[in-house]
Amino acid sequence: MNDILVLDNVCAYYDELEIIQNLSLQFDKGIISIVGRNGMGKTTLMKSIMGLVKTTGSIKFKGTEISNLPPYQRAKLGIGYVPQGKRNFPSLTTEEHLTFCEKKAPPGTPEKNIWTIDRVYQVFPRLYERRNLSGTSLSGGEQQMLAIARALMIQPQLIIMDEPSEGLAPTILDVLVDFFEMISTQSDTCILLVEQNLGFCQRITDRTNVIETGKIPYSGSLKELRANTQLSQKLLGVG
Amino acid sequence: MNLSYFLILLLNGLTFAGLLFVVASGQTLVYGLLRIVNMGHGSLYTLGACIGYFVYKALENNWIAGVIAGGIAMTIIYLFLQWGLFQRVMSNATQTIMVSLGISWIVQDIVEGITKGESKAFNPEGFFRLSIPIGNMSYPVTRLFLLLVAIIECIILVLIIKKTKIGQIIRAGVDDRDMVSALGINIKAVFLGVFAFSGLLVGMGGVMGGTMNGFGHLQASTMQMYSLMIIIVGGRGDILGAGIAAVVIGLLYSFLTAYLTNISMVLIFAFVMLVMIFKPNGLFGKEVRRS
Amino acid sequence: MKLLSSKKRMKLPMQLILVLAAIIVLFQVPKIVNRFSVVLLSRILFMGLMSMSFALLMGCGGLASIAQGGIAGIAAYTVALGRVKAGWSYGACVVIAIVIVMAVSALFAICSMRVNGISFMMMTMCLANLINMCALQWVDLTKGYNGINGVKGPKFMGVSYSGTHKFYYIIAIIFPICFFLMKRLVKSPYGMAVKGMRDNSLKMDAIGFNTKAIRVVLFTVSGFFTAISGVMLTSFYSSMGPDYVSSKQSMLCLFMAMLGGIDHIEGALIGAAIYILLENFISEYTIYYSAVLGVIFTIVVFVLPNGILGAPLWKVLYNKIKDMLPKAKKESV
Repeated sequence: MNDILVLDNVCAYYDELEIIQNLSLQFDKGIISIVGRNGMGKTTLMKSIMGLVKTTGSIKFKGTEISNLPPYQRAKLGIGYVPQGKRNFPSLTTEEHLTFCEKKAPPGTPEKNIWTIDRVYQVFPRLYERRNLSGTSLSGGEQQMLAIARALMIQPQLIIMDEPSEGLAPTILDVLVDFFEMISTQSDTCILLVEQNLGFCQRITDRTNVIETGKIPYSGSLKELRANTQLSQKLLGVG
Repeated sequence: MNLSYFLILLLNGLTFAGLLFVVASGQTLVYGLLRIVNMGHGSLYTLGACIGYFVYKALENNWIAGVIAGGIAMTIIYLFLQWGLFQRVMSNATQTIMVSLGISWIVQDIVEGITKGESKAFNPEGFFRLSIPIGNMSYPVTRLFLLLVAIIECIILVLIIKKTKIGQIIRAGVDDRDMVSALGINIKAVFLGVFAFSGLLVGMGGVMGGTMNGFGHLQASTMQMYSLMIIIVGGRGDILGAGIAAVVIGLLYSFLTAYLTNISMVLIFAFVMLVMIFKPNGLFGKEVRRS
Repeated sequence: MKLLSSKKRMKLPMQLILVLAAIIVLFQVPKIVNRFSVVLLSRILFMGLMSMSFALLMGCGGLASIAQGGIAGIAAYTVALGRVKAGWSYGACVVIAIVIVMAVSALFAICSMRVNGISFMMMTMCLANLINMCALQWVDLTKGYNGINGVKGPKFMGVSYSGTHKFYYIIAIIFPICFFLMKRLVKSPYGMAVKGMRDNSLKMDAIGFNTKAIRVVLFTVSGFFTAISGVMLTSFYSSMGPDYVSSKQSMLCLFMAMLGGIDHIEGALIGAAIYILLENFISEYTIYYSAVLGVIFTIVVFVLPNGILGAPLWKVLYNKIKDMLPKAKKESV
């Protein structure tokens, strides 16, 4: 029990349009990914978990029902959000991005799960170099790092990331892969990763769920899915 | 033109700018962060003046008590307005404008009703009765006090916004408030605080400004208009911008009214329109982020 | 396959008959109700027209203008001055007024091309105040606060249609025609282009629409109708002064249009009717009618966030009524 995230019969709406239809998902720990074509509901799913769209159904985080909580309370409980498009703040410097939402880890938290500014700068030294620049004047890769670092500062137990590889050069992707490697070996933080770049995704985790028209028709190994050309053609449009 | 006359005009412009800044600075934060255009701000200004006036009278013409009372009363009223009313309609711009218009009508009649038969003139006792001699004319201390308050407020606000955590939260919120919420910050509470703060300013500004210019229907619509002008010219959510806009408009008003009385207002409106044509986001404009 | 033919629409002859019917019905009204009610109805009609021209800019174009009162004022003052000071014929005054207003509107559109949202509203506020200042302070031209009196209406067949009593009949003819023209405009391909521009002008530019031209035309057309409402106003009251087109009036246009529901142009008319009737009714009981209206409307706005015609119940009723009206047979695809 106490899976990090359990979705049960969740529906999500934009006005009257139903984007997510009776979706159920069980995430126990570690790193899993959600893949699928454009427009299938990946970002809506992220927003549903965070509370940024209307939903029905049950969403449980570490056993606590959060579907009726506003976004800030979900974040306080320990969900870190790295949205599509980074959404950094032009009016804040890099360092301010990290200080303004910084949360103190609860007493008794093991060292490996505590995120201080210093630890974040160790993981992302480029951010330290750019710490006094406006958040949006950084390069694409640096902005992605900043968005991730920002989420780390709230001491999350679960990070949900929406297409972090979008628009990034291969060298930056390597940095991200190292980051995920570090997270999975050196802390208990779980990650839910939404991705379109299957190659990148494969380097991080093999556990995947395919989302199609708001439902999840496949849950299992990404490697096997990619090897099965018929299935991957049908669900992902590639292969 | 002699020096003391020039000095008087300068002071008039600066003190008027001070009033505009005090009243509009709250509005610009509210507009930047909450995206609310409060069309009732002008009427509520007169309400603040009104409440301050009665306290001042009750305490034997104690002007400072009036200022403080006006500020506190409006803080509470604004708190309730946000909590009970604006919070629920914030997401719909049309509704917000309509609701604030409705409030402005209600408040105008309330002020009208409770000040019937009152002289509505402030004649303070004690220190604030004085006037400072300048050349062969004298300048009321109340106006200078207003200017002092405006300058202190500007400095404090700029420091808060640049240096403190709450300032960072406000700046981030002006950029992207949903994201701030998703990072664990109770943005609703911040909204309440900022809105109530604009109430504090409008209350104090009401009494101080009411001493200068009175507080009737005309002042309500005038202050409403000037507030909006400063928000637009200064840039939304920008305190320094509001300050500079206030100084420019205040000085323009003072000097133009003295030398070109007939077309002074026309020129000011033309100036504001020109700013908007060439710099639609204000003199120091930020692009509006569509969330 | 034509996109527009998949909806049921009234054919043109049907619409013209309705316009004629409306005129005839309006003509009968003075026989049934007392004079004062006719005055109220007239006010509803020309304020409704002013609000509808606001709704055209806002609902179609997404541009909130609080200068309607001022712009109507330009037309009104032109007619008033033309009739009283220069002694021109009514027709000439009206034509000159409309042309001036359309020119001012087009000029304003060009100046405000890059300005949107609250900044735009602010610009219109400045414009309205500018006009108000001119009306008050340019005493040589406008006689300032006292205004201009003795504005006579048109003369047909020896009868002078002046004053609140007679001019009503002119309003009764002109209003339904304007209403009809506005509705057709909104539903036309041009109307759709305007809505497209409101929603996403970048895309519209990319697919070949000249959004700049569309915007200027929109302002000019809206100005046309605003001008007519201004002409009506001064002819009806036989006078003109700065009060008639103060910023409060412009705000009222905004309020009436939003109250009725911005998505439909007729919402502005309904909003105008409700406001004027309520204001008249309540002011008989208390001088604090503004406050009472404020309370009522704040509650209404809470309950109906998209105005009266935007309410779900009304939408259902409205669609039912539309279905009941005689239509052309569905055109084959």
